[in-house]
Amino acid sequence: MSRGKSKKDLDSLKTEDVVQAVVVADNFSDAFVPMTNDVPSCLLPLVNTCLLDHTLEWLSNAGVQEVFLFCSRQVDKVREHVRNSKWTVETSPLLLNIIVSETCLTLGDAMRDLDAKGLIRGDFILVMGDTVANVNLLPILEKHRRLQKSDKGLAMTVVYKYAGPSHAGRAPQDDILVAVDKKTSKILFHQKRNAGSDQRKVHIPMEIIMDRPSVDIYNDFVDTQISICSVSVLPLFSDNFDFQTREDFIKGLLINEEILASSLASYFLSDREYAASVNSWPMYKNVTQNMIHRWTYPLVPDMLMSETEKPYQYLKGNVYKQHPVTLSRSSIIEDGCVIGGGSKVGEGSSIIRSVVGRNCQIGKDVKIEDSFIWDGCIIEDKCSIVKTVVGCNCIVRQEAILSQGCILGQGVQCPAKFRCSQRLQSSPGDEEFEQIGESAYIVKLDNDDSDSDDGGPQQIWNELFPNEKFDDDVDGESDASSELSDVSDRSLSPVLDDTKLFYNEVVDSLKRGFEDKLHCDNLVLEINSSRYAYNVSMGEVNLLVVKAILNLPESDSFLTQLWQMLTYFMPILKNYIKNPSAQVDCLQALKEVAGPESEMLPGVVKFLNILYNQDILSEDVILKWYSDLKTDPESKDICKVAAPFIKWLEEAEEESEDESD
Amino acid sequence: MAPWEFQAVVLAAGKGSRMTEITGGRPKCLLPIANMPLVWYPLRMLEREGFLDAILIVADTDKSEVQAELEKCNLTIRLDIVALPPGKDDWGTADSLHFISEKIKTDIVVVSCDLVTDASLSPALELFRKNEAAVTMLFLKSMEVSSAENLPTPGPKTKHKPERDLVGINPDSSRLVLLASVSDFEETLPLSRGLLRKHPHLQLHSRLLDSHIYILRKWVCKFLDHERSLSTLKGELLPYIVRKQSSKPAPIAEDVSVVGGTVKKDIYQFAEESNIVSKVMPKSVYNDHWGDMKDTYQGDKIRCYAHIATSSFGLRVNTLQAYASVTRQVLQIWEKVTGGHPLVRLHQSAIVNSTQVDDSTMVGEASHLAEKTSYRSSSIGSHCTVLSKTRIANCIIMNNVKINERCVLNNCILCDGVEIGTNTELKDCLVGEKHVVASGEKHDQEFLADEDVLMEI
Repeated sequence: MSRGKSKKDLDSLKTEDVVQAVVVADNFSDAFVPMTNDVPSCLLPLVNTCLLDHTLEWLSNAGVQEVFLFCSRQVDKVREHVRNSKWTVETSPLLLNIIVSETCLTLGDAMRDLDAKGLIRGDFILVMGDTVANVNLLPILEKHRRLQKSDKGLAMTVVYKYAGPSHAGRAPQDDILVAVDKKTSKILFHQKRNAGSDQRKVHIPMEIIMDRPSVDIYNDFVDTQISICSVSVLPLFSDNFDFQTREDFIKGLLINEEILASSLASYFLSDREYAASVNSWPMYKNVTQNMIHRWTYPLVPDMLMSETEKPYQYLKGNVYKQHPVTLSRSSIIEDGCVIGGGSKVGEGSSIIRSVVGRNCQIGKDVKIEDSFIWDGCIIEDKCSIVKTVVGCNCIVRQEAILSQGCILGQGVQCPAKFRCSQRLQSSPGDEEFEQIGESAYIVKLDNDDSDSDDGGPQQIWNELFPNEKFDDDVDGESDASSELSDVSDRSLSPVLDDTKLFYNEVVDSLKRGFEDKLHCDNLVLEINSSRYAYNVSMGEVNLLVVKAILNLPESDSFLTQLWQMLTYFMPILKNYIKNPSAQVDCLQALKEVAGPESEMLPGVVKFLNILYNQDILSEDVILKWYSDLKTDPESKDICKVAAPFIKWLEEAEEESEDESD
Repeated sequence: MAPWEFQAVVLAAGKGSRMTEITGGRPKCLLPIANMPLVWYPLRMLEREGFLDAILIVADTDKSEVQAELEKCNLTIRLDIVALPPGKDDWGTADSLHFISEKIKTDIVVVSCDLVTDASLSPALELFRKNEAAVTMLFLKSMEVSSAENLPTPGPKTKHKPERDLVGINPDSSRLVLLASVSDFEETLPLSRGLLRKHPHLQLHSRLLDSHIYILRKWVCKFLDHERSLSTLKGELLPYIVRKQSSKPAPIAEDVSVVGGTVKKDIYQFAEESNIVSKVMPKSVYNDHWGDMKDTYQGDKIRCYAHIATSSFGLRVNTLQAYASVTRQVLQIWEKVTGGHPLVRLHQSAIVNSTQVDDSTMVGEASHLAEKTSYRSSSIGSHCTVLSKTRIANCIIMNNVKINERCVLNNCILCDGVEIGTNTELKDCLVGEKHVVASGEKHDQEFLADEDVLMEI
């Protein structure tokens, strides 16, 4: 399909031949807060060009002739941007229509609105306004139409891109699993990692396996958010008001395949093609790096995107400099950097693996690593900026240290010598964020809808550079659970449950500790690490540790040994038995060990006495325990044995009360 | 293949419990297919693949019979026929292997006696060698029952419900990741995330045919010796090993001090890599997967592989349906299945007086076919007599059968020693061993046998 068709040419074509695309300007999420407070996500800059321009450039290269740009927030800003862009001039290869619907809060709303407006005439391409890609869409469209012939119900072709399980292009929230019938390209199963309640296992319906000779399950693809839609997609959204996101749509269609009489097809991009939707900070970072390393060719900085832009110079080591930049002699710029036009870099500054926007002033001895500085920022001397995003027109005062996922919203003024690894924005907002300087407020996100089950708030702050340790954790868990199925893990290796294993480990640790006279602190460390390994609750830990100590002595001279050990292990007991509930656990353990005919039985009083004197057990808890014990017929023996001590306790209590009177 | 690299073990002690109607009179491994005993086909396959000798395991009662039959077949492969001792009723496949454990000196190829295939073993052997696999299995595309003539299976109509295997293979590395029976799962198949991270692309097959060709590393046999509770290969040992691939050995030290009992060896202690492999592996740049920084084979000590022979013919003759189907097709694929073994259509000692014997009919030793009889697509065993004015089509007739005058037999299986009276019409029938069908009877889709045999079934 040749570029540069004028509108007249378009009109003369049959309407079905026009390749139409719907670009959704907003990503309907708060992933980029505070950057998206007053700018829609599609206008965020990526390598000094806004995402929407990347998307439109690609669409026009990919054979699309007409684009419907769907805006719902900050419409004026999008309008203005488009008005000043090359897409509205007479020679534009794209016919660009802006559709406005300010009430839309989700993609589903947008689709329903489009359906109501009735603008789309045939199959169309649905992409987000934050897509960076170099895929030719026509073969995908062709395949979609070919499949449509054999499958009348085909609603959508979902475009996937390879990304292995530990691929950088696989953001945690994009972890998906797809099952496909290779013969027909039909999607049979599609699950996002967060969706299922069971994190460790995926449950694949037997039905889809049985219905065909073979099913391919892929855990190494990511959804590019690009889809080829049949005409039926919009009415499907209208008919099903619960379809809020594209994910809902896919899921809904797969579950109600028969009722909705619609199916989904898959398309896997080849290794040479690139596509990604920049919908989160990890993706932002990843796509930026890919672009600097030219995976997105021809969408690279030195390819001129518009006439008004000054050209970039492409230097070795993937460094791009736009004309004119002023770099001081002793500055170091290396290993994949982009410096926008009009920027100045002072003496002794180093910029590594970073993007600097246009007209930035970078002072002396500044260190910038793995960071993104947007247009018009002023970074004063001796700042250190690592793994940070600095929004447009920010000022970072002298010697500030920004690190580890710090994000400064537009216009933030970061005070001098300030250390920060959080998100800041320039206005207090509705929720009265904590102020840390002139135009600098700490943003707090309510993380109801974010993937909090993975790691709570910390996950959000580290989102830009996800913690590597987090990945390891997932792996560790997997090894323990990689037994294929629970069914019939034969008697060959009896499966001990975790608490049992933990208990065995504790016994081992204590035994060895006592024999080799190891320091109790080390033993506590050991016990704690086993505790995490077997995921045992604190209550169980208390119970099992006490139980282990009481069970440790050999049977010949049980009590003498016990007293020795008890003295030796006192620090451990003090470490674990700290609060009333732990004391209850401790006494529970005593009760369990000192059963009828146990050698422990004669030592109960002394045991209680020692712990009482050491302030490990409190009077109240012991008395409460004893009163519970009395009602339990099974623990008659221990009750009898403990009685003198309780009596003594009560008397002592009375005495102390008397005294205080 | 070097002759000492693998030992072949052919398991032929099966009773044919899924086809008792026709295995009453002779062991399953001697059922005739194109007048050759069933067990000849896998043996011929081994011969074709270059094996010089094989261990053949048979039931104790059958040994002499099998030996006598095979002597007639002119096999060049040297056979060591082992009879399982009596006294135990059901010998599992793993039990049989255990019984001959003394004879196992190298890695082994286990073949079942009921396989008729033209698939080559070499891709599977290649996988086995290349990856230092513990187990390699060979799967076949399961055959649709021959549609050429579309004849029903003789005998009463039965609900044919084959057991289906669920096989998960990583197509990039051919690793066998999952092996289970479809009936193990009800609504959903649970797959662990860890497994999918290791094998990000997984193909699940539900309609493959297990060829029952298993290539086992020597240590697997040793493990089998140690772990006597595993009694079958397919049902127990293989799923167990496949499952153990992905788990790590249990920490041993801790358990010992607590339990204090005897140390139970687990499978990982058997799974020692050979000296040379453990030396080469750390130095090699080879990796079987990409996309992460994990070791080759992701550090798995036990590895199972599977090869799918997509374009090959293959059938397991373990049901009546399969038996009927394979006898109909065998002549068309004779060349491929037997590797060019000469086909003896009419035995030289047979007396054929009929002029209407078509090309796809076989006649065995010393059989006598009278004049004015016609034969179409049938196989007739040895020492049979067919009297005149009888028409026979699509039938399998075993040895010592006598068919009297004016009979019409269509799509029937007649077992050893059957006698059919005059003027009888049989269509789609099974006739059990030594049964005498009275004159003038007409039967359709029935199993005809003596009372006591019927009782047993």
